Amino acid sequence: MLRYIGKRILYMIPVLLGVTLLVFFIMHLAPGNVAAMILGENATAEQIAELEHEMGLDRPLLAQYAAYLGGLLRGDLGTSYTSGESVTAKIMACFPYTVRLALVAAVVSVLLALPLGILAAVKQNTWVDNVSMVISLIGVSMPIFWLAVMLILLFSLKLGWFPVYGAKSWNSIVLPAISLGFMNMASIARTTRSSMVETLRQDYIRTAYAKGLSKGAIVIRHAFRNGMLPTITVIGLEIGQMLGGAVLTETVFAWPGVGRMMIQAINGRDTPTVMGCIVLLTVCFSFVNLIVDLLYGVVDPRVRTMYR
Amino acid sequence: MKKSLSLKRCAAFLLAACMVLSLLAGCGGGGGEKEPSNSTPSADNPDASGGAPAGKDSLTVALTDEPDYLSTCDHDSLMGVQMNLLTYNGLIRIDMETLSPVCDLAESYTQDSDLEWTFRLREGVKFHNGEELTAADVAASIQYAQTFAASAIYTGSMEKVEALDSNTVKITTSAPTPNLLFDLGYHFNFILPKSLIDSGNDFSANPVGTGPWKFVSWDKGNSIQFEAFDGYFDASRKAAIQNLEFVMIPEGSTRTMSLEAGDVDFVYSVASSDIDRLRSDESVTVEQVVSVENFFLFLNTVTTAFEDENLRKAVAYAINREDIVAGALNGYGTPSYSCVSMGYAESTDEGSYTYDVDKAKEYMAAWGGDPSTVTLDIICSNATKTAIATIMQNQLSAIGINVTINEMDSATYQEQMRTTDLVSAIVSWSPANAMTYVQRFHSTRRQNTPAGMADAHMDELVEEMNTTMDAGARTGMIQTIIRESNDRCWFVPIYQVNYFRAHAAGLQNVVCSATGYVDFCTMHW
Repeated sequence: MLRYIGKRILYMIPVLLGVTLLVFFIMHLAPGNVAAMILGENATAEQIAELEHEMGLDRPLLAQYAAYLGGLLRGDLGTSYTSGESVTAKIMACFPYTVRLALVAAVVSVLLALPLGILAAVKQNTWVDNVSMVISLIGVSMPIFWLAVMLILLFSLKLGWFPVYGAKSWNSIVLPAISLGFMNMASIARTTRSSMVETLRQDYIRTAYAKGLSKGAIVIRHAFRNGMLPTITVIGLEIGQMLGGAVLTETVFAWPGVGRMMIQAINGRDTPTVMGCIVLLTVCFSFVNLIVDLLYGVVDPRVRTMYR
Repeated sequence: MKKSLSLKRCAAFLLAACMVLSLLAGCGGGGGEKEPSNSTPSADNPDASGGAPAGKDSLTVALTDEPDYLSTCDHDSLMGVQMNLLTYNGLIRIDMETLSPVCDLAESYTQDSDLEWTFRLREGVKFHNGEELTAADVAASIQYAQTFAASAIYTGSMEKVEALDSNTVKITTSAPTPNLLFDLGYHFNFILPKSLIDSGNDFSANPVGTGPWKFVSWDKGNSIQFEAFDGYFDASRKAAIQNLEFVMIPEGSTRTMSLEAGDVDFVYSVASSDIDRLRSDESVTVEQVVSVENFFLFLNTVTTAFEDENLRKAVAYAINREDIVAGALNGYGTPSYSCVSMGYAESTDEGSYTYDVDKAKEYMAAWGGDPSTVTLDIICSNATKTAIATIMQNQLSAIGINVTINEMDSATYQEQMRTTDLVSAIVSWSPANAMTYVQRFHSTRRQNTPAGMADAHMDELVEEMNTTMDAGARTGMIQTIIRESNDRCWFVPIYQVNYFRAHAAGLQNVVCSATGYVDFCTMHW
């Protein structure tokens, strides 16, 4: 198992290399001059060239990339072009908020989605199934931006139960987590339903019924565990995406997370900050996928043998 | 089977009805509109029902974006300057209402010759760290600013800055600089403690100045906090509110709802879609200011057909500015007919062109070219500019000019503006005074827009203006340049931006400048 984990961590290295190389070159090839943006509209061509030289932007791209990789190996994500701050410090200031939001939203989505999906599968082709799937359809179709604004209108403005914006108080996370979780709930519910429907059709489930086991015991103890694998995959993907920053949710709720910072960095051609966010996102996704793979082994003992 | 089908249909119908009703509930408007509030400054309003809680000594302001720096020389952004106005002073301050330079840290000044200026400092002025302001601090601050490339336009004219004694500063310029007072009022020239400059202080993390507000803390991405500076030298401009907090809320509707919920007291930038709703809310006051920010249709007059004056005049006559303001801005803008915004002492709209399609066609005929050979490709950097260009597309089709619209992000747009590859762009400019405006369009200050007009005669007029020290004569020259620019139509003015700020009705004496800044010193509950 440890060897498997070690191998997966090593696999992250070529993935990181590939992703950073691609993003680095895309950022530098995109139109827009960061030195000109920093100096403003009144800068002369000479002043821009001087600043580019100071920032090392006049070196060949490969040399710049090599220097960036060197810094990355030392744990230095560079300095933001626009604010002069350490990128590591910038990301560390935002990332805890993103993690908090992602985890709470994941809990919300799982708590909503699993019962919905299981109920829909157990009561397949009944009104319960239809209502469950309509709810999940609403979740996947509803613009998250609109849902967020509606939640603020009702729960903050009309009822005054939660703050409108920010991350200051303990209850600030509720509305952002609900709006993000509701959207993610949809795909988890639908996956759970399909997977459970298929599992409930298996012969051993019919055997369990024949043996006289209760419906609850069959669904929870037998069918649910065997039908969980696709659901775990989807939950892992959703958490990975949320850890990369939920830009729309963060924007509407003024949640100071990584997503909003990354968009600002892209618009400002702040390559070090963009690269730092991409590195973080890649690492998060890789670790989440690793945890998902390990959970397969927990849920299904047959998978565990592959990790030895 | 039939029963189950009809149940399904009922369920589907009920769900659909719920969705439609919830959409309508979300889009519902408020009550009837009330009259727009006064523009700067807002009058004390005895009828305001939105009062502040007793003893409220804080003000929370919602901003769209966080400034990158709190220092004076690392930026040239509006929000950065707004922050600088809280913590720093210059020798000169630009008055927010009259837009004229007034003495600030300087008690008085004399102009000894065309090149020499002497400033007498106020005595007993303290920095936030307790040090007393001296002439050495002034000299050090300006010399420090001169090390920043971005400050060159506002510091480059000062050849020598000397501390003659502890309270007297002499500035010698390299050439006659009639705009020196405006330059000194610019944030690059705000005064910093020499001791902190020498020690390499990071003025963004530790912004120590003489300003009415002292920096308290900056939680990046969340909030910036200031407190009133008890030792502020100017009693008439001492902060009346003890604590000031800026919070970052990028989304317009969230800012508005935060104000309505009482989570914030002041919204710096109100989304145009929320203006009517806020005006109908008695607990909120909306401030509307006609700014000096002018939106133009910039034309490449160097490498395209628009180097022909008749073609430019045809375009100017064919554009209906009222329709653009109504269609693209929901009516929240002021049609502009002059290349320099109205609102400055020197402003004039003489020589400009109003909407007249017949005259536009006459000028097209005078041009003599084939309109089908002209494609006006307009680059835009945001949705508002795109909306403006879309309306122009329709208007210019009346004279046979084909318009294409190219929307791009800000970084790409700025890069395009520095080339002669573009044909046209929607741009906005808002310099602090008419002279800087004129310098911007002509002579060396326009070097960042090489596709802009290049005319030797205009350059001569501007150079003459640059060295005319007599204020009256200079005003006449500025107006001459504006008239000629309007007549020759180097670019087509469209509208002047109206700034909308909103605040709790209990907040009094709110001064919002036409330059975009807000005076937090004058406000009180």
